[in-house]
Amino acid sequence: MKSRDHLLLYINGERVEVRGADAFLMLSDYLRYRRRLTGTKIVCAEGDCGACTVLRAFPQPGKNGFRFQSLNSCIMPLFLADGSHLITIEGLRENGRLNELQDKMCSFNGAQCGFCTPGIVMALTEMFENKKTVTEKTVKNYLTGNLCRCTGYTPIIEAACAVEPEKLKRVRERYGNKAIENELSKCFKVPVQIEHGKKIYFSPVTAVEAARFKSKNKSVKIFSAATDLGVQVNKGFISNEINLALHQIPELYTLKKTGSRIFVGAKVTLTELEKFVADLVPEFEKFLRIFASAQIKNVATLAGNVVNGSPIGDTLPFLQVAGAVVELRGSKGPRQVKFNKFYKGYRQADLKSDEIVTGIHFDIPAANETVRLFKVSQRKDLDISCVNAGFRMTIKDGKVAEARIAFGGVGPTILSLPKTEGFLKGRALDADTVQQSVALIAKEIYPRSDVRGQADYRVALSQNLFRKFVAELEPS
Amino acid sequence: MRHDSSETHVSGESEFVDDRPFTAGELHVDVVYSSVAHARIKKISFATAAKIPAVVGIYTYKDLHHNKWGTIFQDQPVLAEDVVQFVGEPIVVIAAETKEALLEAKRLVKIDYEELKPILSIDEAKVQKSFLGFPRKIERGQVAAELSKAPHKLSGQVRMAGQDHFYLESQVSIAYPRENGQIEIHSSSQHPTEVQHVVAHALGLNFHEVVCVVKRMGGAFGGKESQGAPFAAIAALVAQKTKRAARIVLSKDDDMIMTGKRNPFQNDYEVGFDDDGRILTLDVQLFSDGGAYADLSTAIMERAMLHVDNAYYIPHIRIQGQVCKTNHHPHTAFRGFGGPKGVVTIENIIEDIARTLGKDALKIRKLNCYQVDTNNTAPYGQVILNNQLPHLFKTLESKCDYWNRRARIDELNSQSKIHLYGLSMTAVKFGIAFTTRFLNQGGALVNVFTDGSVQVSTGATEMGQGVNVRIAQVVAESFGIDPKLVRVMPTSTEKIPNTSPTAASSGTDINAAAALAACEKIKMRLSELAVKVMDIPPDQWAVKTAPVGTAPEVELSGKHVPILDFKNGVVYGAGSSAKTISFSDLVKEAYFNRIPLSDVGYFKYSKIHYDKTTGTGSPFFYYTQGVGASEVQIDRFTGELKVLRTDLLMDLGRPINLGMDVGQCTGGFVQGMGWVTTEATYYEKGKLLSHTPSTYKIPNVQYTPRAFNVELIENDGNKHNVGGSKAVGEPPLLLAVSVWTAVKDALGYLRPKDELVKLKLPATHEEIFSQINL
Repeated sequence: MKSRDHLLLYINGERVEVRGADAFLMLSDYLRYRRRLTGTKIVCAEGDCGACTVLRAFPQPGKNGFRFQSLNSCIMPLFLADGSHLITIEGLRENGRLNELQDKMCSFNGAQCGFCTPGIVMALTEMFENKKTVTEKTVKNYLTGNLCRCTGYTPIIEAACAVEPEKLKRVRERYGNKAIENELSKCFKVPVQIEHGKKIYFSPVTAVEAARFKSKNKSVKIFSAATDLGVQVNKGFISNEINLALHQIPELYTLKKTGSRIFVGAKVTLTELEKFVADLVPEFEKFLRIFASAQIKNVATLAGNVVNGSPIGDTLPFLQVAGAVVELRGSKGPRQVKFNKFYKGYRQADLKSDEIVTGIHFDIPAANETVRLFKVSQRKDLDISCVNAGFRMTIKDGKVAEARIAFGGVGPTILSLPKTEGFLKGRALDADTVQQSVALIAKEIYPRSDVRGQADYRVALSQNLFRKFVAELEPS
Repeated sequence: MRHDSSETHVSGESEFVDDRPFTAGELHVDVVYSSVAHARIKKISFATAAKIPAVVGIYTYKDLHHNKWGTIFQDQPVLAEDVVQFVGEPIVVIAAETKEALLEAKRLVKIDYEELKPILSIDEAKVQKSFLGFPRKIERGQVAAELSKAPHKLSGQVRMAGQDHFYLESQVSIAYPRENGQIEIHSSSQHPTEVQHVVAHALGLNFHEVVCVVKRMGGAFGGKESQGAPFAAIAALVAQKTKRAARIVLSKDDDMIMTGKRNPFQNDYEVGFDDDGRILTLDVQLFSDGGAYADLSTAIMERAMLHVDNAYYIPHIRIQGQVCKTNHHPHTAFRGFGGPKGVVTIENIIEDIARTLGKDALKIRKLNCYQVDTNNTAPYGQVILNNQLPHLFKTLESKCDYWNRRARIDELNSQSKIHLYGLSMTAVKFGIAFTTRFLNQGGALVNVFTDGSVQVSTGATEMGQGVNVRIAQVVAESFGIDPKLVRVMPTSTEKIPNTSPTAASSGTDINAAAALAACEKIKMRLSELAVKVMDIPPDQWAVKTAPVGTAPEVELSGKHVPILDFKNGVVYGAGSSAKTISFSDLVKEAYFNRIPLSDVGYFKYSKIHYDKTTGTGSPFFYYTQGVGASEVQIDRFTGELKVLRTDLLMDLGRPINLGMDVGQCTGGFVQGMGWVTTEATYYEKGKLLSHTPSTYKIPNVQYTPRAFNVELIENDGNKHNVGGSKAVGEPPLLLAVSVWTAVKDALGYLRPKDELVKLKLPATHEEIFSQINL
């Protein structure tokens, strides 16, 4: 198949082709220093502050129509924005005048120093793409990923709630354009290969091609959403010489329920997953709500969280107790690995040199099962956990029939607690059982001290999470 | 009225320093800094780095003309010489044509150290007698005697950690080389004059060869009062050496590692009180961690000492303070300066007194509160005039339904197995003025143009707080014109010289008053002119006659004349005269009659003095006061904290711009909440490990009080300040102490009745957890 040797994108309605070195820049740098769109700010360069927020719509395989979603442009390599229509803060004025949202931000003093403001306005713009009306809660949820150090947020919340939605022309109405969408959809069907010096960017359209490319290039970095790799590039921890992207592979976008399992393709975003599990696994949905931010979840994937392999990955406790299975694709064929066998050690996954993760599937807990997920972090939202935990239990006649417990942040990998689980089986959750269980928990975990918490604190906290789980159980 | 930058802020068009277009040949600049807290530099190797083609220059202290800087004491090198004293201390400067080359060169510079023993805590510094500045004391009455006979005594220590400013825009400067070796600096700085001085010293120039321009900052909070200057000097060094523009933009990580924080404090106290909870005497010794160099730490200590009394009258009191020299980054100004560290100390003591006596802390606060006519002299001798504190306490007590909520919390805490609740009301009495008298001065330049529009320049810098819009409003009101016709221009040392930092909450007070003084001078001339012009038929006005020379020029007496009424774009004749002239016609007449339409104004806070050696005087122009009540919910299992409700009640005099003032209240409070709860600075061997927002958690939108009410009382009594207003920048931050004392209150419910809660600050979930599971 013929491949494309450049990136094609639209920025605020303007067509742009990018060749050579620029393709490897971060999107925010490209906007600021190549296109003079300096409204997009760079603060943390790690996706934690939202000052770099822009909107993107792209031809997502299997989906009709373009939806504009927010993302952190400071951690997205430009090549991942290939095939996208990007809207920056400079694209919001209507006929030279402030739009309704911008105007309300002014009249409610939602901006003080102004440095976070473009990112805040873009995040709120996404909110109004998705919502007809908003409440204080909606506003907070869409602004979780935006830090402001001046206002205390109150004026921003008031401004957003004061927007009269019918006066605000949505981005999709202003920038939605069939011709552009068709052109981008068409270009998405062709693999892309760009080389510049030692740098290579390759974006195949099938998983097999991806696996083959990976097997041939040992030092390849797979940039799926880059919400973690982008940070590592910015901080100089890794160099991005050989880059493989997965976003043009249609088969990775599958999201479906099969019997009592849910299958999540490797390119399904956490935003989509959050919506999909709302009725099927409400506890997981609730947990995903405090996980990361809109900007991150709009691009980040469950597979990414799993492959990253951090022992404190927030989706891991759920996957561990939900009997997840990781689906892999190698150059010679597919393979399956049980999630609880997937990690061999600290950030070491059972992933062969020619394999990519294509998806993950897990149980939908039955009605008689209790599932509870916890994370404890310095700040409740958008913070890496100190300890996280998953509990899944079936209680019959006042006794534990089945128990699965997983803790993160207390060992080199996500941990199951087989001894505690075994002990609980057949027992009533009375004070004595709880006391003995927490003693067992302390023996089955082995945390270290770091910036997010001391080791002994993590042990005590893990024990307390179990106590909390029991205390909050519905009286049956 | 909206913030004057709001339209460009919300459209991304506001220009910050790094948004300036790159000029031809402009260089990227960065520094290599110390990776160890204390060491002798054995060797610096950068030969390999220098070979990278795009690397244009590599510099060390040897390239500087003068290497020492410091706002109060000149003790800090711009670039380390033979010894490094903190992790993050700049050593080597690199200039390159591309960012990639810069990063590569940074990695290739090798520095060999011979490590020396660092001092990394206040305790260690005390043992080693490692101090900065002289010990200070404020003393009134007979402390020792009163303590010996007090019915109740408590002693203890309260510890407060630092706080990163987390301004969104990191330190940044661009230096442009100009003719004759002059340098023009664009910097994100609260103190352009200090930037000018530090750059001039470093480069061996006189001050008049350096211009510093500050258009706006992307947040500052005190972190850009002193600490922007050395980075400006570093950019200027490159500009001087290469004759090319040079830009330094710190990454957030480097900024947090290199720059100082709010000073950590460790305060020991002994307090004596009676059965009712009346504080009879207090003996307190404050120690702060100043870091490796003096920076502003001695002034911060001074303000901490001046705020130990806070809202409470303490007849016999001794306050001693000493800054410790450690091997941390040099700590610096942060919103509130020393104030919060004094206030936490006394509010903590009051909580403990209440607990000891089995009384509600609010009762103790009201009992000890400064009164209006009696018990209203501060420990250093200043009389607290126009005191609103008793009124504030009483009003908020009822507005926030304190006692009913207290009863409900008592009940909830006895029932809930999952949660624990706490409630507390604290106060602030913040002294307004720099405690160093000479800083309390400011100048302004007002230029009126012949179409009736006006440009104003002052020494104030805009960091989001809205000083510019307030100045514009004051000027517009003075001339009686539409505020849209007034533009406050970028702050520049060539417009207004010898300025003070925009700090101590005094930006509007000093600079708007200076602008007003300039307006008055112009208005004086315009008034005399108006009286004369009003008697001339319009067809003979100078606008028509001066170009052809057909009428005599109007001349002014130069004497003081009554200033006319300037309102709604019109100037009204004196007395019953119905004569008027429009402002725009009048200024044209002034121009054509050769009467200057431009003037400078000057302002200083009057009648203030403070003797630092005796700890006595009246250092403050007035006090900004307020009270705040916060209710918290704690998860008994995890120590996680939620602030359920906060009510603030402030006395801000007559606000010039209500929206800006309320914004300072909400913003300051939430920033203070961060300090007292989530913002943990985590160090290892003197290196800050929590140097990114992924590890250093400032409040985000979800972490704000669930219900948040801000109200102001009416107070027309602050007449000697501009427009009857009061400074607002810092005081609301101090009310966040109510969140911390509410946590203490909640934890008290888990203890035996008279057992005290020893809570560290910040009350992180780990700290709270450890207090629950003692």
